[in-house]
Parts: sequence; structure tokens; C-alpha cells
Amino acid sequence: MVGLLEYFRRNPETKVVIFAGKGGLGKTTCSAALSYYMARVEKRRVLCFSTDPQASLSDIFERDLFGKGEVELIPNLYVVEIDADKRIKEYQEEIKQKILDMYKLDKLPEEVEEYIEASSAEPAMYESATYDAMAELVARGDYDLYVFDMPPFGHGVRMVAMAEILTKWVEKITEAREEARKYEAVAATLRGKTIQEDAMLNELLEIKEKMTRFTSLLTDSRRTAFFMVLVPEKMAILDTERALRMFEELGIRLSGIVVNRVYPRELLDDPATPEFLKNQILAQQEYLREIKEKFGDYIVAIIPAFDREPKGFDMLEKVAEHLMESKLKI
Amino acid sequence: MADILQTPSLWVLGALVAYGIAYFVYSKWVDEKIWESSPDRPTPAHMYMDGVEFFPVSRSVLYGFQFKSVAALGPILGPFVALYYGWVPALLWIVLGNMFIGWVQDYSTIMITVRNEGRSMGPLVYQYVGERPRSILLGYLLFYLLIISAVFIYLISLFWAAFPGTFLATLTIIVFSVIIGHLLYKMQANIYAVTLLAIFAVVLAVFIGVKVPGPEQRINEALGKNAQAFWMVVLAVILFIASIAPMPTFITPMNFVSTFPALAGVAILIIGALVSPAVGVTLKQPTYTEFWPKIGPLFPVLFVSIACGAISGWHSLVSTSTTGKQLDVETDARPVGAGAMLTEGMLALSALAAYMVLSPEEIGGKISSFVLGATRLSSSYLGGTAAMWKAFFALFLVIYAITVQTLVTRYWRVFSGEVFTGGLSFLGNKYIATITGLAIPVLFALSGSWWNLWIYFGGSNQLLAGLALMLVAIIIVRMKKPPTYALLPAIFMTIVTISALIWETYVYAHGVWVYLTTGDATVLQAKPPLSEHPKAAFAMNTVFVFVGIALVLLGLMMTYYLVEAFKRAKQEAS
Amino acid sequence: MPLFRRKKEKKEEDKGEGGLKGILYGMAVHGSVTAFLRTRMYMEHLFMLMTLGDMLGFPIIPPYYSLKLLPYVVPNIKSWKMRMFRERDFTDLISG
Repeated sequence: MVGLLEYFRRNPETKVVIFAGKGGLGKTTCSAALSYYMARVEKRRVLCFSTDPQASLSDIFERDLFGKGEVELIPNLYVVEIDADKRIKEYQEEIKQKILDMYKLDKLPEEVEEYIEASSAEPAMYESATYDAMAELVARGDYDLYVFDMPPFGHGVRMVAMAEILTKWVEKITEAREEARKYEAVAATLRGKTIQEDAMLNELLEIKEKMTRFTSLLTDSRRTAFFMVLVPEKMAILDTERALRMFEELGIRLSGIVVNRVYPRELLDDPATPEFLKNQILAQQEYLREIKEKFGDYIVAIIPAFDREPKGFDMLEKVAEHLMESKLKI
Repeated sequence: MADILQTPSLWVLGALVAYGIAYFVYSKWVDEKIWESSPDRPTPAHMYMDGVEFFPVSRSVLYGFQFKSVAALGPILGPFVALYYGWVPALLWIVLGNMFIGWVQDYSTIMITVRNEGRSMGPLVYQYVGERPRSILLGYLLFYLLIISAVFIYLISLFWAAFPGTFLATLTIIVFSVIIGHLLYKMQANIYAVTLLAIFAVVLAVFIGVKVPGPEQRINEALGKNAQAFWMVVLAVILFIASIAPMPTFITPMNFVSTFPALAGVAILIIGALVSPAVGVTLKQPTYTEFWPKIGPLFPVLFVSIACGAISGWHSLVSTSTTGKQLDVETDARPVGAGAMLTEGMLALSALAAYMVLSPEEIGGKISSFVLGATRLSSSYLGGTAAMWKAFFALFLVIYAITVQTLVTRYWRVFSGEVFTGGLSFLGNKYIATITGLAIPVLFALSGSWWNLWIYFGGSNQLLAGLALMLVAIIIVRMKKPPTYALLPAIFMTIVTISALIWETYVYAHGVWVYLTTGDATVLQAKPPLSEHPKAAFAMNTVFVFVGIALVLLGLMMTYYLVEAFKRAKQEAS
Repeated sequence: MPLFRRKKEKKEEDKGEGGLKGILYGMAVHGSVTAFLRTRMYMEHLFMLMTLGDMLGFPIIPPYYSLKLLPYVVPNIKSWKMRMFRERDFTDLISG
């Protein structure tokens, strides 16, 4: 239990930090605190990226960031809170326009229009769009550190699993395309012609390049850290166990677990502590024991429960204190 | 005048005139009156143009393609079998068969595809006859491919064994083909430079064939009567590689290289036959022998012996699968379909002429005597040594056969992949399918009774033609036009071929029966070395009985379904 | 429909493919060209199915990247759908 600072000392190449876990446990708080600390104290150029449609990052930083792109909050600290729906809409419009321009049409063919419209109804579109936004930001390489606050569903890990599927898919279709092209080239040679450059193949190779790079970054434990956030409660423990299995299946190493919202044990000795709170603390102690037993080596930081909501830079500083150099013990 | 009648010249000329009439009068009438072809009606090549399956191709290209696809060993070797009845029946069948049946099928099958959204044979049968008949047809085609393979594998190995030096010549062509394939597809070399290289390869191959017969001679001597079996295995290995390797590395460049000797050979022979009076090459074959020589009765055997020169079912597959999908305008169907078929008739004529100038003793029951006759025809007016022409024409035969056979083996593999599903899907595996597609024909070929097989081949091939013509008749009736011009040939071909298949099945069954009852193995259809092992010969003959029965049954079933479909069409049209 | 007819390309093809040269071309290589293009066609089917499978009711993958590829395949969609629904068997494969 040494805190994230120690982690960064041991893993100096870390470029991406991902906070995963169920919603409402403090992922966003941890992401924001880490970003704030790294930018302010360590003077690194940090991008904090949230995929949460509830705009919780805006909430924490007390500023409307939703769908506004990269916003610099303090020197070196940039924040993005993506509006996936808006992004999909824009993306669809872009594609439509591209088709109209490419074939000099006034109107899209009906089936094409339908296909594009229907695509936004796909739930997985949302994930893909977010993922693509992440990959694009990382590919641009403007920042020293990327902190991703993953969406609550599928523990945020599913995204990585999908990344691998997508990468395989792109590889397969690129292969099919290249093979087809080979035959086309042979036929063209026989007809004494040459084939035109395949713009789609170039696009495919570009997508492939972007995805392979991002996926290999995410699965490289030297450059990418995955942290799970949990609270001392039964459900959270069960979920974390499940997530650990998912990590294992995906071949991803979990870098550490952050235990959040821990009541200081000293409160038990304080006569001013109300009875019901004491009961809660006792229950927490029980779960903390279980957490220690089950995840012992993974635990990197313990963050106490605060008397008010963690909002604003002052609060973030307090959270970061515990997150970076953990002083509490179970 | 009497002299000129003793040469092939006038007969060939006469046949050419007959083909002229077929093309300029008869086919024109059919095209205008029955099909009412119009340059304004859009063809599937335009309607469904996708640049990969459907796209319009100029008629010269399609004509060249159609001719090359339909010309194989059939017209070259068929006349040999037919000559057992004398050259007049053979000539008459080549001329009249093609005039009234041959081009009719090739042309009409293009038209049925053009008028039916570019559908191929299978889907057309499905649409007009039914689901089951289509399955039967596909099963029938698998048998058919096996039999073509058996015949061609037998013949190629026979030529290699009979003409030492030819194998090395063939190998030269193959090696150069692989190099040319590499130049064309990997390095995108200039097509004209590559053509020159291909012609050089042919010259070099002939040169090697003349100069280096030694090694093959020694192999033949060492192996004795097993020599041909050895060549079959060598051939099977080559075919295996050709079928497995990507098309551009092997099959395509070999087709390309072989185009040049194949064309040159035909031209040399036709001209040779026409100029024969001037150079004193005379007819030495009897005009007519007898109705029932040892190979079987003139009816029906003659009509299945000369396959592709007069009529061939294979052509209907090419017409519906490719030509009909690429025809630019409807009015091209006549020059492409009828034109290519009548040209192929000329190929058969030239082959017949090559046999006609040999005496019965020179032929001596050997099919390889074609090379001797061809040599005589060409050296008479072009000069050159007999050894050179012999090497050239031996190579000519092998090349015709092997280019088709590589495709047939490949088709078998691809078809197997589609046909064998579920529990049998292992048979569709690339390697297993290729092995079965070679092992079964090699086994068939080992029996050594090639002309019995030839009759199965001719029979199944011509029967397919009959079925295709019947399909044409059905479609014409549905168009509310008179179907007679296709219906009569359909009926004739169906009767003739089913009779021929029954006859040949009987020949095998008779041998099997005699062997079973008397133990006399001499009536079995087998040649050395198989004939020395009566039990094996008996087993093979029994297999052939079943093959024959299968072909007859499948043919009869198809005929039944087609006749029913025809009646339905007739009822609904009236 | 006329939108995607490559009429210009066709005219180019006609040139130089007439007469003897055309016949020779037809004999020597047209069959192979046809065979290659058909192989290409089957590969394109695979490709289209993997990219736009959900257009025919085969959901393969979230369509985000399919959309990116969509503009390039717009001209092929019609003929692809037509070919997918076309009655087909191995007699369609014979190319000489």
C-alpha cells in the first residue's frame, strides 16, 4: 500500500491510466484527482478523458465540459468529456457528405441512407465511437499521460475485448481486400491495363494501423496501467472478483486496486460518533478484511470517506494526497 | 478429277461449303425467325454489369474464348474411332452433325442464358424443370468429369509412352509456363515480350522432343508394359500440383503458352488437307467398311465417337456459365456460338484428313497414328524433317489434352467443395478432393480399355448436349415459338446417346457375365498389364458396369423430367 | 441505375479488342481473366458480408468502421445484393 506515485516510479514508461469498475464507486473522482496531481505537481501534460454520459467530470471540475472537446483547466491539465451521441451524429453526416461528394449525387441512394440511419440505433455504436475517439487522441500523441475514466458498463474492460475483436476484424477484411485486389491486378495485367489505387484499402490500412497501435498500447503493461476502484461493500467485492476474472481472460494485468470511501477506524473510539455510523464502520471493517484477504497484493491506495462530495480542486487535492501516497491502512 | 477425289482436298472444301451454308443461311434464319435477336434488347452483360461476373466483351474476344474453351481432344481423336466405319460415315457425321445439331446447341444455349437474366445451366434447369432434376444434373456432371479425366489421363500417358521425347517437351512447356506466369503476374511484364518468350518455349520444346528422346526411351524399356502406368502417375502428380497451386502460377500461363502451338497445328493441318492434290498426298482409308466392326454397331457408336467436332454437351456449360453473361449484344450470339462451333468442326475435319491419308496398316489400331498422318500432311508442303513434325504433333496432342485436364481436375475439386457437405464434407477438402479426382480416373484409365471409356465419355458428353437442347426447346415453347429446330436434335441425341451408353454397359456386363460363368477372362475389357490379372480386370469391369448403369439411369431420369417439363410448357403455352 | 454504369470503361475495352488481336486475346487469356474476376467476386462477397453484413441481416460487427468504408462500396452494393440473392451452383464456375 504505497500509492500511485510509487507505481509511476516503478513504471516510468506509463502513458495510459485506465480506471475501471462499476459506476458510482469513484472512478471519475480518481481519474480527476490523478490528472490534477500529475499536471500540477509532476508538471506533465495530462489529458483526462471521460466517457460517462452523465457528465460526471463536468460535475467534479464544476464546469460544463460535455461535448466541448479538449478544455485546458489549469496549465497542463486538459479534460475531454465526450458526447458520444453527438459524435455519432456528426460522423454519420460526414459519411453522408463524403458519399455525395464522391459520386456527385444530390441525394443518397435509399438503402445507403437507411443503413446509415439504422446504424445509430446500434448500442455498440456508442462504444465504438468512444473507443475510436480514444484511439485518435492517443494516435495524435499530444500528451504525456492519458487518463481514461471508463464507462460503467462491462466494467469498462469490455471495451478492450472489443478492441481486440475489432482489430481482428479489420485484419480479416484487409486480408480479403488485398487478396481480391491481387486477382484483380492479375486480370488487369492480362488485359494490358493497370488497376487504380485502392482508396478503400488505404483507408482500411489506416484504421488497422490506428487500432493495432492502440490495442497493443492498451495490452502493454509497461505503458498502460489498469486500476480498479471499489468500496468496502459486498456487491463491490463480488463485482471486483468478476472483473478480475475478465482481466485474466483478456490477458491483461491488473495494475492495482484502489479502495475508496473508507471510514477512518478512529471514529469508533470517538464518543461523538453516532451509533448507526459505528455499525457501518464495523461492517466496513469486516469487508475490508475480506478485501485484504482476496486482493491483498493488488491494493495500491486507500481513500477515506470525506464529509462532503469531492468537487473542486481543493477536494481533488485531498483525494490525490491519499491516492498518490497512501497513508491509511486496513 | 478422279485424282483430286483421291485426296482429302475436295472433301474438306465441300465440308467448308456446307458449314458456310449452315452459318450464313440456317443459323441466320434461326437467329432472325426464332429468337428474333435484336441489337437493342439489353443483354445481362449490360443489365447486371458488375465488372466481375457480368460485363460486355467484344465478339472477337468471345469468339476466341469460346473456340478455345470448346476445342480439345474430342475433335482430334474422335475421328480415329469413327474411321472403323470408313471415312465417309465419319465425314458425314462431322458435316451434318455440326450443321444441324452442333452449332444449334452452342448458339441456343447462349441465347437461353441471355434471355434468362444470365442464368447458368444449373439454375436454368432449376427454374424450368425443377429442384430434383437440377440435383440429378449436378450428380451427372460429377460422373462426367471423372470420365473425361480417365480418358484424358489415359491418352496423355499413352502419348508420352508412344513418343519418347514428348514428356521432356511437355515439361519444357510447363517450366516456361511457370516462368511466364511469374513474369506476367509478379513482375507485370509486357504481354508482347512474354508472347515471344512463349513461342520460343514451344520451339525449344519441339527441339528437345527431337533431340532428347533417350531418357524416356530407357524408362520405357526398363518398365516394359508398365511404362504407361508409370506415366499416369507422373501425370497425376503434375495435375495435382496444377490443381492446388493458384491459377496464375500454373494453369493460366500454361493455357497461354499452349494457345500458339494449338492454333498453328490446326492451321497447318487444314491448309495441308486443302493443298493435298498439289503435293500428291492421297486418301488411303476405305470409304466404308461395315455396319458392325469390332468396336460396335455404327448406330449408335459413330454418333458418340466424334464428340466435340460435331456436337458436345460441354459447350452448353461454357455458353451458359460465361459467354451468355458477357455477350455485348444479342446479335453477337451467332458469330460467337455458331461461329466457334463451326470452326471446331473444321478442327475435326483437319484431324480426319490426317487419318484419311494413312493406310489401315499404318493406323494399325493405334490412336497415336494421328501424329503420323499429321506429319505426312504438313511435311508434304512445308518441308521439314519427319522427326520434327512428329515431335511437334505429339506435343500438340499432349498440350490439347493437358490444358483441358488441368481445368477439369480443378473443376472437380471446386465442385466437390460445393457438393459434399455435412458428414461428407471431408470429400470437399482441397487436397482430398484433388486426390479422389485423380485417383479414380487413374484407376479407370489403368484398365486400359480406353475406347470403351471413350464411348462412355462421348455418350455422357453428347447426352448432356441432348439434355441442353431439350431445355432449349422448353424455353422456346415458353416463348411461344416453334421449337422443332432444337427439339428434333434433342430427341435424336438423347436416343443415340442412351443407346450407346446401354450398348457399352452391355459390353462390360457381357464380359463380366462370361468371366463369371466360364472363367474366360479374354472377353473382359482390359489391356496389359491389367489383363494379366483376371481378378483385377474383372473387378474393374464390374465397376464400369455400375458406372454405365449410373449414367444410363441419371440420363433417363433427366430425360423423363425434361419431357414432363416440355409437356407442361406446351400445355401452358397453348 | 445509370449512375453506376461504367460506360466509358466499356468503350475503352472495345478498342483494340476487335479483329484478330481480340480473337487471340480471347483464346489465350480471356478464360483466365474471367476466372480471376470470379475469384475476385467471391472474395468481394466475403468482404462485403464482413463489412456490411447487417444490410442483409447478418450482424457481424458494430457498424462504426463499416460506415467509414461505406463510401467506397456504394457503387457495389446493388450488384452485391443481387449476386447474393442470385440462384447459383457450380455450373456458374465454368470459365472455359
